[in-house]
Amino acid sequence: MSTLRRLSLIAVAGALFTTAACSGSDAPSNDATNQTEVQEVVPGGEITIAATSPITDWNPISANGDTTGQRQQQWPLYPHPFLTQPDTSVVINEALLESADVVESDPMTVEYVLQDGVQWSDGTPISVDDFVYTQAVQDPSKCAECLAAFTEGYSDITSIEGSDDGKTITMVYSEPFSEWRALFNYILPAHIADGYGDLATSFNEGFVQNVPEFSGGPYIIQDYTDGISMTMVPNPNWYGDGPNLETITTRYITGQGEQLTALQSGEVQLVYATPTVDTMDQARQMQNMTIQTGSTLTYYHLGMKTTGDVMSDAALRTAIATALDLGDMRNRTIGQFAEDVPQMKSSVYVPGQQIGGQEAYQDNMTDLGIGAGDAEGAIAILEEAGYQVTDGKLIQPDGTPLRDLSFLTLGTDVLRMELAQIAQQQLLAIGITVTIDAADGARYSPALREGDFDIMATGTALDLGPLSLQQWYGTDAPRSFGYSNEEADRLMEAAAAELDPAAQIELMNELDRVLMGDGVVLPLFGTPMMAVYPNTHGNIFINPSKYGTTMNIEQWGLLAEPTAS
Amino acid sequence: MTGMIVRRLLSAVGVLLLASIVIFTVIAVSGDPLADLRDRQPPVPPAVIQAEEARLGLDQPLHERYLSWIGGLFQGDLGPSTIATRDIGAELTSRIGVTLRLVVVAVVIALILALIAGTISGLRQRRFPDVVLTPMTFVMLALPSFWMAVLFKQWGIYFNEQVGESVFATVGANSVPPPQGFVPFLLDSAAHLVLPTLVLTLVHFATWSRYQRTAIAESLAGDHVRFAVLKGLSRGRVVRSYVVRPALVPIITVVALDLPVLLSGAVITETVFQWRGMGGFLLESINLRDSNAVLAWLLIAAFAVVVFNLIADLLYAIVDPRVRYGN
Repeated sequence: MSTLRRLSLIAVAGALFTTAACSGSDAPSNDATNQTEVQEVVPGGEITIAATSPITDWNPISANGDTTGQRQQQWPLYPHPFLTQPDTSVVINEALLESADVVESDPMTVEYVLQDGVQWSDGTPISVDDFVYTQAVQDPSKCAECLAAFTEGYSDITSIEGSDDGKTITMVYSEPFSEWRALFNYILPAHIADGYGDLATSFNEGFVQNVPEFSGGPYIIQDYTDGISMTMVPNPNWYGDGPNLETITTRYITGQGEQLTALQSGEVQLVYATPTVDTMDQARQMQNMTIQTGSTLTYYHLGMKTTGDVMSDAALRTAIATALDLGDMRNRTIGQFAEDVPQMKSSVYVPGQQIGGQEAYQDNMTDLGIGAGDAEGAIAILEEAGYQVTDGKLIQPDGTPLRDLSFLTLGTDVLRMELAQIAQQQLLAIGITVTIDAADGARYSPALREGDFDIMATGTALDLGPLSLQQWYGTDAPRSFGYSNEEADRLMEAAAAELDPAAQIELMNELDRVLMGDGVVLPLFGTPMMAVYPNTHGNIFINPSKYGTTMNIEQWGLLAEPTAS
Repeated sequence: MTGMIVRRLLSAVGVLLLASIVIFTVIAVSGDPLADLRDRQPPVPPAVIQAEEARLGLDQPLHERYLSWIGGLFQGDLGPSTIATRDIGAELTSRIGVTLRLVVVAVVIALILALIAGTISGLRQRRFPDVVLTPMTFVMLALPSFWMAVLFKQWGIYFNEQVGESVFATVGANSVPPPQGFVPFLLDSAAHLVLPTLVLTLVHFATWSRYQRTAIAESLAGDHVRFAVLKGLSRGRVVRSYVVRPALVPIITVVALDLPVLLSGAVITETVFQWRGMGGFLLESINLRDSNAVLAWLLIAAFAVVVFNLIADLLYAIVDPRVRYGN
């Protein structure tokens, strides 16, 4: 027996030694930064990017192809009129366009002027035909069978004409459309579509099923092995500056942990993902790595139902909004690993966001007196409305105790679960008991859409400005969960049609005050992102848009002088 | 023997048919395959949702969907995927190949080692080498397979760092791009195969060797062994014919039960080492809510269970004459 015990101890000691040897605990920790300035790089080199999922649909603007991962991977293959900068400003893509402006406001007319020599990889010029095709497949009146992801704005375009040898493209809209810069984000090649068949066939089958052998961007696909990897090399007919790297390989690795291990083993050189405390620690333990963190235009927020037996009472919603400490929520969640990502005090713009060169973000929350964890203030609001807090329990004006409120959250999302738990603690101070409804993926979204909750935590992408908000807060909108406010509808409609940035910013901030005043949205913080790569590489940024980090892929390269770790 | 095979085959068909009904119903009510599409921001047009519902047959009643699906199976059509470009049958074929590549070597090594180690341990209980093998296997059994996989992976990375060469690969079945030439390709494949094979081998060696040790110990205590010894048979013959052979029946059962699980995908090992095999196929399909792909996987898993149980029955008859004569 003693021999057995001795041998067991030796085996356990061996295992512990191995673990200790592998942990690399002596490695220096790296600090995360948010580098946004272009650094000097040299031509040549390669990089392997870790991606979670392979391409399942090669058409980046089809309903199935328009997903975050696929958009990011296919960005280098297409021409794009506008680019989102790391600071959230939207600028013209000078490689493709000389200019793009609204030249008439009634009817709204947009004029794009192409640069000389812009062309597809096979030498065919990028022309008005490509704009005409890309518009038609996203306009249900021209192609009802086309399975496009997004049709708003495209269906307002009444004509597209080319002039000046096809260099100038003029579009007329039936209605003013403030988010016109978000259209034509991927321009599809009309001459390739011709070879696939009619509009619906080319869009739903040709572009969907075939690995692109063309490119209108800096890189072209050299090889794609389904589910394993995609290799891109420079487009020989690229018309812009760069690209610098000779080969860009995307390696499909599911799971952030596995991606970081692959980075550690040198099998990939870039991990771009949403960080957690654990993954950030793991990244910081690696030597000679650059770690960037930043936030995006997609933000986390809480929301309250504004209809139903108890939540229809504005006083109760206001009290809840007043009692919640949203800054504390930020500090106790992403504050642990993404210190640079600030608390949001607006539900319509992220901090620092610019629209048309103007600062758009405003703190509308403080003026409304919500989100600061003011339990006394919340109780005062409740008492004025006839509620009482007795023995730690909130009693309604009719004398009955308030029922437990249901907090809907996604059970698999650690961050949203933490938010629910913190809210649960905070609301106890005003006598409200919260039960957490940790729904799985299959139930969460339908429950959200149908308003099967009292309070919820979710995320919203703000890439489309007023249109992004309309999907949640417009009357009878796809996700409105019963919310309806005429003033909010009016403001959203006006902002969607407002072409003057200053006026639009004003309308949006007014909308923000209405939405937060109703308690229908309580903003928290932008979704943090993390980019980890060897410090030999440069110009890889956190891009706040839904198109991700590959937006400036032609600038990526090997640094002339590698940074110190 | 033939009669037994026919009976088993008929029963297997019945089991598979029943399994198909249960599996189809459970999958059909377990979630919305278009949930991701419905959740997009901005929302996709309703016409797109309707078109996808029609393509996937979600607009039909459940029984019609089942009949259409089972009818398609007999024609080799596993049904449409939620991913328009995905050919479920073709992908499964390639995934099975990858899993077999990973599993076969590990199973063969683990089985041989388990038989040897378990037999020696059983024959020399509480003496060397049993006093070494027993605690060793207990340690292996105590280690969760995901932890062991991560440990080996980290150890491989650490080793590579120390020698300054990429001796062990930790991602996928081959490098990207794969090396040119037969020998470099073979070496590259081996570098990718070593760590996951080691993990799978150790996990199964530990379990199987314990079963074999117990079976040998039980066999040794049997009256038939005592009788053979009293008859004056040589030690070698007693061990071969009266101890080891009857002790193979339990290990055949255990391996027959484990193999379908392994062929359905060594999920943890495939995930940790990023092999694109059957386990990954199931996880991805669940993630994509691709119900026809999940159905196909489950059907293959059910088929594998039936087939390996049939093989186990046949092996019983070969190893243990009582089974043969009893029938």
